[in-house]
Amino acid sequence: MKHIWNDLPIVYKLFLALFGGIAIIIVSLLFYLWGHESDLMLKKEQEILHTQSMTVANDLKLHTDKLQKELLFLSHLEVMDDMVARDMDRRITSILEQKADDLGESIVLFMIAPDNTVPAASQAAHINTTSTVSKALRDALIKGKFYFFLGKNLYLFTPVYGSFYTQEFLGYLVMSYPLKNFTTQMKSDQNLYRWLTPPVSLVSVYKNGNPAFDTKLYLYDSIILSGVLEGWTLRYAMPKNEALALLTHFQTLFLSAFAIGLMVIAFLVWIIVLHIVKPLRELSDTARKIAVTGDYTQTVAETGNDEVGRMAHSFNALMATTQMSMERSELLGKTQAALQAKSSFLSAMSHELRTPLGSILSLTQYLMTQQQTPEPMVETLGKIENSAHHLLGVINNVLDLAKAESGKMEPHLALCNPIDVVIGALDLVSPLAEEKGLNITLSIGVFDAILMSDTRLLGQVVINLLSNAIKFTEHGFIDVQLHYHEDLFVLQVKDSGRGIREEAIVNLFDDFYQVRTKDQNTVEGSGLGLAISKRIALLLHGDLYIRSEGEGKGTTALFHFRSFTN
Amino acid sequence: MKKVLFFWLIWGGLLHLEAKSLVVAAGESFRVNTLEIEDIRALYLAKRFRLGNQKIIPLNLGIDHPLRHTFEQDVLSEDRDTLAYAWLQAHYLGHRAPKVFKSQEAVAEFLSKVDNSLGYVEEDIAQKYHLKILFRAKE
Repeated sequence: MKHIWNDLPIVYKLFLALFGGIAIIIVSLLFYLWGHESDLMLKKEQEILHTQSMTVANDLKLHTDKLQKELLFLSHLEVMDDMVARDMDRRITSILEQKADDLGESIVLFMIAPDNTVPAASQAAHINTTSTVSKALRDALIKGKFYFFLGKNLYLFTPVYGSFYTQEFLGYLVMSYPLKNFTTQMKSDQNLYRWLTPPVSLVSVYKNGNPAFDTKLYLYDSIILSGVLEGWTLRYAMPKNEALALLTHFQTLFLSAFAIGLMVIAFLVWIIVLHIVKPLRELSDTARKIAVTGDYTQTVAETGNDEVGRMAHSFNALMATTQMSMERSELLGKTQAALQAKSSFLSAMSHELRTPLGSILSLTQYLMTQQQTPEPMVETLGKIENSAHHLLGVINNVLDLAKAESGKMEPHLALCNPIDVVIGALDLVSPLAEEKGLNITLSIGVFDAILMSDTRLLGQVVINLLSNAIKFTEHGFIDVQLHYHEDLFVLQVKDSGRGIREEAIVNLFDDFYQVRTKDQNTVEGSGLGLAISKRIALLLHGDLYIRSEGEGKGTTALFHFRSFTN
Repeated sequence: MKKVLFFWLIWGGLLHLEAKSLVVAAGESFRVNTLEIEDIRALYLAKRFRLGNQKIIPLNLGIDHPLRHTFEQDVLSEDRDTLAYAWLQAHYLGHRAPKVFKSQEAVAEFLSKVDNSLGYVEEDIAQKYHLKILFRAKE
């Protein structure tokens, strides 16, 4: 799984992360609301059902109360006095017929005389018959009730008394009410079931449905009735799917909207992700092209100042830097090759020049030492020898420089005494100083350090520095100091000579550079001495510095070198 | 013209027949055996409501009954408005107008069963229901 995820393009990862997050939140919310709203809706529907059923129960009570009141009203009519005359004028019968018609519901009204006969009734068949409900009526009276259930009917009754002064008991006015009428009062329909359950004693009387419902599938409850229907229970049930029909309808609508919304969100997320990833893709494509073609001049578009924009900017900067580094590296390679070629050339050329020069020197010196050589010719030969010596010195310097640049100059390490080196060099150059009348002073610090270095190279640098000091000092002094401090040997050669311009100091160590003064255009030497000395100083783990406060203010050379044992 | 004449002859004949047989009667257990016309008028004109200590329940026939017409004319000697006014006044004093029955048989049945009741029927009906005749209208 992780492998698959890692291999997915970032556009899919971002899309899945964003869209997945949104979808999970919405789906969670939907599920929560679904369950919560269903419970709320069922509870609400249960309350509504209960309220409606309470209304039905109240209607039932009101209906039976109304029937009782009707009966009571009829019983108080003065015409009821006709019971004394057994309704011979049929005025009671007429009223009962009219009232039964008005009430409807197959209601039968009839009078029961004290002798249990029926003198008046809303149905002719009952008149002048013997009442069949007298016993049940009296049983109800014993219980203190003015109603009873018999057969499939509810009987309501009230005693009738004469309206004349004697208040004579004339009989009972009875209403027969078919129990099946209650079914219409239930207000049931195909989605809502209401039915009455009689008390146990009346199970045989009323069997108008007692369905069994699965309470998991139905909202189900009951209400205990009062009044005439005391002891009866009004039950009701409704399929839960019907109760939730409205919610289901809204949920369907919501789901449809949710699906469309998700698609829109997915589309928007996809657009956003593409917008985010597009520059990254361009960056990746450009990087791949650069890797394939090696063309570091390619750049990516820098869009905006966000993280991606800044990354594109950094990428372009990196490519520019890389391009410059590569150019520099290429240039360096070329330079090194050129230097190598130059060194090889100089080495070869110097070698080729020195061989015949040796012959010139030795032959010139030979001729000068011969007795037969005339005096003017000796002088000429002397000039040839001087020129050959100078040329040989130049060639030797060129060879040394070439050696140093090509890395072929290697120190031959051995224990050496720096003081001896300095003194030896002074001995060598002191005749020249004496010729110019220069005062050379030597100051050597106290130290007992051991120096492991190349005596010849050390001597070459010291001689070069002393020669330069003598060469560029016309009068005055040359002060030489040697001391040792913290593993560093320092040789200072200070003179009171011509000095050097500040701008010339930076070029002092360049090959073939020669300092020209304002009043002296002629130069001596090849201009390689300091360049070679600088390289030797570096080779000996040290360095060489030249300081001067300006022309005519003398020069100070500082030669640092270390022992190779450190 | 012949029809009008025939109607009045028949009507007059009927009235004559009814008038002859009208009696004021009560149940056998009624405490008084005879009544004077003044007593009857007083009872039916809401001037008296008792005979002795006994509260009397006067009975009447329907408003269109010919015998009532005869009774009001021959016995009470008052027109319908006077009677109505008298019982209206009595009504506000807590008395009830005579109970009205549709038929003489019903009146007779009531009289035979309710002791204190008093009513007028034809004599042969009174005899049929074994009523006590308290007063006979003039023939």
